[in-house]
Amino acid sequence: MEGLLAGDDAAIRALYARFSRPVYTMGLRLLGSREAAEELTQDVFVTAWRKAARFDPHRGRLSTWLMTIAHNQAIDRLRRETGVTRPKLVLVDEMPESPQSVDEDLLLERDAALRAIASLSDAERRLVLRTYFRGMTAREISEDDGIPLGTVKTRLRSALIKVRLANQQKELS
Amino acid sequence: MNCATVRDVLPEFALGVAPGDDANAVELHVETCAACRKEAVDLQRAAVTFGYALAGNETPPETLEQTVVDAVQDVARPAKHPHLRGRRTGIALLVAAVLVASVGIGSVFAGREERLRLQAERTALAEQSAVTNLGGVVQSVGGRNTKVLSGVLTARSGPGTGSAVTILTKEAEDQMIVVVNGLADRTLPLAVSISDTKGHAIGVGAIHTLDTAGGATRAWELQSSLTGFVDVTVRDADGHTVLRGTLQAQTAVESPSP
Repeated sequence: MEGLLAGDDAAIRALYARFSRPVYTMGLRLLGSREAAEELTQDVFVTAWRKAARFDPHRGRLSTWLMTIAHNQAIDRLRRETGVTRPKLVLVDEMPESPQSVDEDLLLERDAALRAIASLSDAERRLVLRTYFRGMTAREISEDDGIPLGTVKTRLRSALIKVRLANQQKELS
Repeated sequence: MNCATVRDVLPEFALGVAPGDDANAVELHVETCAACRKEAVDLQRAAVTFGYALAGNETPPETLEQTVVDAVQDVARPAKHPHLRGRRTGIALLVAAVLVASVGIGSVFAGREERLRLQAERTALAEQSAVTNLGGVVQSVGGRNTKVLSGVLTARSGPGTGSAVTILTKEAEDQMIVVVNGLADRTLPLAVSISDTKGHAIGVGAIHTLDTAGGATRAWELQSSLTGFVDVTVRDADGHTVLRGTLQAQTAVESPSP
């Protein structure tokens, strides 16, 4: 991170090599165009530099920090650009990929994602899709579905806790 | 926001969909609450898992790497705006000096509640007078498109006084300076936030230590634009509002075209 803060060429390229694919993929899948995905990728790394001094490895992992920046920026853009047609989301468990095309770190993360998705009920899965991938708030879902806000929040919490447990079990094994 | 309210918002916060003011309040709270911070980190980590669930191993175009490197180096290069940075540092130091002087008036009364109450109006007037000098300060060292807002922070109850300034520029990140005094009996850390007229709040930062007079001067450079944000609140670690005040524009420096 010190290298990134200093604008060190090698540090930026190392961070880019590790995270550009998942960030770019998130941009492409959520925002729907290569141009938007490129803009998102560039914005994410510039924001990472701006916030690098505040990153504390004792508080969380670098991957969580950077992917949270990427996701928040993508969702901000999604919510700003209402009315724009978005692509249908396709998740990894719906479209098997050739392992040879994916680097090892990404495969491990995808394995965790598959376990996480499998641990959710259909209702929780739909709920997470609408919040994480479409940027809908709990209140918006509550109004759309006609269910109490508290119920939506409880289900969201329950879904995240299941995913957290699935992640912990994977780490223990 | 207390811990129970924060916990209620955390799932949405972790999923990136908490309403803006809620998200800002959570960010402010977790800066000072280790238990809620751990919960937030755990839930965020769970949420990020979904980010890897998207199908496709899309390879960015080869040219993007260089574009990203250039963009980061462009913002990282300190020499890009040498005059601007120097000028802004100058503004910050002078503003801080004026604010310390203004709060110093209040500090005479710190710890003497009765007298402070009697003299409150006079003190506020004196502070306001000192703060209005900022216009001249900024005029002398400011540059194009520099806007300064300032105001006095007053205690809701008990001793304590302060001042705050925001420095807004189009060319760089906005800055905020807060000076407090007479807060020795408050529970640390103090959390500083600023909100706009619609109630949207930005967590500015925390004051973790005070001098023997219960004073501190802190400056922050903020990622978010402070345009439109005028209501400053300082809360103690128990969530009680300690100081509050509204900023007003002192001088908008728009140099005329040559």
